[in-house]
Amino acid sequence: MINNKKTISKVNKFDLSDNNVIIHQGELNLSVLRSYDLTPIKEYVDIPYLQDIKVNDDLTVLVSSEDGDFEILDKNYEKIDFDKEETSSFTGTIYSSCLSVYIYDLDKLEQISGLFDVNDKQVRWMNDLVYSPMCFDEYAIGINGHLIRCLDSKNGKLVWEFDISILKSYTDKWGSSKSCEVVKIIGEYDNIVWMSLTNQYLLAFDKSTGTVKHKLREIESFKCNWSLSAIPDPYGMIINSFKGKIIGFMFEFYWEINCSTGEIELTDLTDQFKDAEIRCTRPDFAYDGKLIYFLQDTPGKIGVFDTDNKELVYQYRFEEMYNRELMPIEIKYYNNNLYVLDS
Amino acid sequence: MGNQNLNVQDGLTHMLDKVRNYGKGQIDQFEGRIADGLADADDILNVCDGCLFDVKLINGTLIEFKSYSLTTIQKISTSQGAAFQKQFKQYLQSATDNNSFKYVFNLNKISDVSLIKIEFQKFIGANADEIFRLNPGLFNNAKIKIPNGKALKAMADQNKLIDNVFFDFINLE
Repeated sequence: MINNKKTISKVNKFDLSDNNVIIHQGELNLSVLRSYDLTPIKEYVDIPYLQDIKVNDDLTVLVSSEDGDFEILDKNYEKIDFDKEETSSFTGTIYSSCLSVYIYDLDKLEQISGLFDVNDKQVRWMNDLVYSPMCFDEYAIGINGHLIRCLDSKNGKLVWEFDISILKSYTDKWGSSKSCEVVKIIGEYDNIVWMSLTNQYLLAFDKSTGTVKHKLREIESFKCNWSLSAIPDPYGMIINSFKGKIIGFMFEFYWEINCSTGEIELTDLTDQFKDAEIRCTRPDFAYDGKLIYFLQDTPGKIGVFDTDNKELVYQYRFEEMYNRELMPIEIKYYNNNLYVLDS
Repeated sequence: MGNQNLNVQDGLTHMLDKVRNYGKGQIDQFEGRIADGLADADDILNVCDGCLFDVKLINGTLIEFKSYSLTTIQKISTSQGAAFQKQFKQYLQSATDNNSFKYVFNLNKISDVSLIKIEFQKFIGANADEIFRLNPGLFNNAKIKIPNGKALKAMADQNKLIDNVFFDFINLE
């Protein structure tokens, strides 16, 4: 059963930490709320508009502003002082206590990227080899045009690269032939980094050598009159490290990929979802290891899918608010609570 | 068409003409309120308030049909384009990437897509910070490489945004 416990208006961004929800609301206000009842426990009025909010493993909160710098807050959400002049801003997810940072040249319209060490509070390195690298322990992996590049996360030196232009081009949704591009670096399992491409390929690299461990695309048993017999969506995938599987969910399809063998098991839920009048239309679902909480944008719904029994177990329909249909765009799950951001 | 307004008829004709090209089973939804107003006619003052899209394909892609003349297009960045701007911002905010929505303009009314892109660029450049904030991930990715509002404004000011793949969502058919 899903009950709407509380609604907060004008929220631009939010993220979850251990016991709290951090929201950016309106133009200037950043607030930390208790997760179970969304009661404010700390508010800031002096942090300018935030591009993004991220929370890393040791609960340090990291915040970027569009003026180019970022704030690091300690476990008590107090600001930590450090020299911010070396970089412009952070751009991506926090991995292994590193931030992707960059300097952007507004005249040349170019940027260089690098890694900022959260523990040392300083930039490790910056160069033009990759855009917004993601750090996987001793390796930083990113994209530069048609090249997937892996750099040494300590010094930024090139370790290996893979040219995806050798893969066949694809026809986009509008019938145009295009070279393939990396859509998403899904994550790492057992030293193998997985990424999805626009041409529905899924590539898995040994992160230390660049050896391609898996190159997946077709699912022969999958027949659909509007989609290729291939991985249904490049965005809707996460890694479940406990199961050693990639969990994929989008539209009316659920699929699991064994990270060791590359075996794909797809469940077509078309009939079941058609009867229930629901589809998953946003790829960023929430997952608790058993249940998937997904969104349908119009009409706005939350669906709950049991991955063990392969069945829809519940759905919640948003009521109209402010005389308009609600269009949910983001969902997160923490400790029996769902947090949904509406457009 | 019960609505006798010529702009409405023109907009609907454009949409229906293009929708015919989509294959069987490709269309998931039509926006229910589209026929109620002047949503996609040559009138940017009365873009259907609350309409989320014209057509939604089964793969989740949203399509917005605009049968605008060049004169109308040139108003989208002005105060007369407020309803158009509001609708465009909704598309940006809800998009997964710049291929997840598509604006289709009428080839019978405008011959050069760059004329449309210039007007979008003008609007985005004048409102770069606000537009970037709507959905940073839409701009800040390995394909589009625009990391913040200042960079977005700089690209627009230098007339470079029209060459960026971000504008792939603008089509002339």
